[in-house]
Amino acid sequence: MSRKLLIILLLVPYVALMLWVAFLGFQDKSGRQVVVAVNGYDPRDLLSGRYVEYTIDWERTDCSQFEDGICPKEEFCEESHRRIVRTCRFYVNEKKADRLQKLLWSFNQKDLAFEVVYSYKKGFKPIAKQLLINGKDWQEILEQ
Amino acid sequence: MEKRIDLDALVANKIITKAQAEKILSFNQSKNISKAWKLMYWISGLFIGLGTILLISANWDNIPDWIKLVADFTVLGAVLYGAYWSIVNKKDNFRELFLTLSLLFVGATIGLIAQIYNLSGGWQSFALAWSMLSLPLALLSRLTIINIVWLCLFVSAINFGFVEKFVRYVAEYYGDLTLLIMLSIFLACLAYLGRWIYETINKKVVMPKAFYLLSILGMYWISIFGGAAIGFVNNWANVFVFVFLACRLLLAIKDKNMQSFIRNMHGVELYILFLFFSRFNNLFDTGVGFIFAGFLLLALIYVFRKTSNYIKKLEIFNV
Repeated sequence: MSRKLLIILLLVPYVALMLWVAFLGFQDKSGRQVVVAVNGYDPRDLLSGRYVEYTIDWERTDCSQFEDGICPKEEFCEESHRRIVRTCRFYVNEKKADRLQKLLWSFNQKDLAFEVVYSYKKGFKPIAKQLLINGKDWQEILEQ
Repeated sequence: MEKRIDLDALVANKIITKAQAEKILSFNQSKNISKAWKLMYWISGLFIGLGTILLISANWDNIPDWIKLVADFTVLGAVLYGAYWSIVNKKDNFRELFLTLSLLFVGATIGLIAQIYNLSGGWQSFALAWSMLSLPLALLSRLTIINIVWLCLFVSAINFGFVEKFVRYVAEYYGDLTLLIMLSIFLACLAYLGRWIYETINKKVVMPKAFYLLSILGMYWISIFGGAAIGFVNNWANVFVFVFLACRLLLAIKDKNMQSFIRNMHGVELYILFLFFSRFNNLFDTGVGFIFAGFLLLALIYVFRKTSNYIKKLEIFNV
């Protein structure tokens, strides 16, 4: 095998991953911030770590944040496998995941409102940036 | 398929001389030991790579994202360069080590990107991206096991709903007979595989040997599956399994049975994969443990190759 071909083969994953990060970084920085209400939390753990799985509650979300005052429901989250609902993920530190899970399970009793701050740019997949509980960062609430 | 030749019979029938028989035996041992080294390097890579994935999964939210990305891409670049260096300089053992590490670090990088940007895709999108980006690495590897891992990864990315649809479609439009023929061909392939396995095990099966094999299988079953079952709650059960496999590896070296050594090495790698997929609640500690075990194994290989006269005696052929 020629050296050129070998270098190309080895560079393919590296360059592809770099471009992906650059694209996501650009999207993250260029989008404007929108806040959506979420519910149906269900922390899970998989290969890329522990995460909170949620669906967006469009009834409670302020649609005036978006263009023409219409919530772009299809642009957020992924359609989950063999399910009709669209679910999203928010990754959390494994040491804090259990405490957050307890908080999520008791949200009804404690009257907690969960929201996620997104970087939104029309035509691109929105990027979840921050999980809010009653308007504050979830880590602040966890420390209380 | 490697055919077993009865060298004693060849010598007795004066087809080859005793000296030639010994040379053939040494050559065979050399070939097996070369494969065993490659496997040991691959297992070290497996430990370090999976350990890194677990460390990233632990999610260090106190470290800025850009530092995590720079560190990850630096390490990925270094192992890809390692793969390039080992291929160009024909260092076969390091080639497998670096290709294994590169393949796993590509997965770790995808995991990190998904974590930083909270990507919502499930396992199938993750596995598809991982398998596509790591395809050149699997193709460059000379180890079957790396390619098996890649195939498993790729297959796991496929939505099997379409297989179900396909079976229903064939039955409905082409009839049950066509489906039956297709299933028969599939089963014939499985039967061929079974025959191949049968032929790789010695055909001269006698009762004591069967009893011996059954006992060995029972021992493996109890140790590995028992260890795996208890290993969920008690880490000492995992230590027990590794000690058991280490004893089997030592016995294989003592008996100069490199085939057994290779089989047990496969047992080790399967158990590592089990541990990786079952460690959900202690990602950080398991990750550190895996990386430590990987480097320890590399150090052991180095010491063993430098000090063991038996190994030096066996490595007389460049295979």
